[in-house]
Amino acid sequence: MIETALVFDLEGKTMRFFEPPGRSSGYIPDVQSKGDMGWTEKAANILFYYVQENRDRIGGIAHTHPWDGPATPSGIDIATFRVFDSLIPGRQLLWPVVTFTDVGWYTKNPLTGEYVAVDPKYINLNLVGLDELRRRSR
Amino acid sequence: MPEMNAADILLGEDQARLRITYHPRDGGDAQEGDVEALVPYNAPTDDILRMATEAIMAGIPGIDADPNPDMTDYVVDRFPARDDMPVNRLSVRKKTPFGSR
Repeated sequence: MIETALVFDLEGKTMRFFEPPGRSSGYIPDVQSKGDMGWTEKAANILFYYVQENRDRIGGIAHTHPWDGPATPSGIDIATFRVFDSLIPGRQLLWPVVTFTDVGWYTKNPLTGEYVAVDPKYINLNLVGLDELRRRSR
Repeated sequence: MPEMNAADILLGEDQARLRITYHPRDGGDAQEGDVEALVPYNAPTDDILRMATEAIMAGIPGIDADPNPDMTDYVVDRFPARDDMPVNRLSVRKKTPFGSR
């Protein structure tokens, strides 16, 4: 089992998966360039720059907690949510946390700044890559 | 913001342009800017973060001055000069892992 991330667009369509080296069943590491890639390659390899360069299209990022049961974000997850929400101001990004049995939808409350669960009946997009995300996490 | 300008042509092999993406402590929108002075490309990470901190304290084009920036979880990416970008680049930004570790 291995954590995997999926960037999706405003309609829920898959933009790309992020499967960096060093992932585990409980962690997706931040990839950093130590001089092994060029400036124009950064978005292809580092999630931060991919989001920055494609911010006009991004609806959110889903990632797996590859086990059965309820899906809730960790403190590390929420810290990362904050970074990306800060990069794309004015848009309510969605942060699905996906287990093999559940999907927890989270977003930033614009009034309090806290991350809150969203009732799925209010989600207006179809996360097309959900099954593939789970498959890549097994 | 332009990726390169005429002055970049004069950069030495050991010099770099430093770009900072800063997230204000109050949770506001991220701000991005290039430090005007050149920095040593091979400087230790801690030194680069220190330079970035000083730049944010003073303010640079694109980033409002913050006298007490919080640089927790900031990392440095190094991008050497190549044909498609013949300028060494350094980037200071927040890291974005997922997980419970």
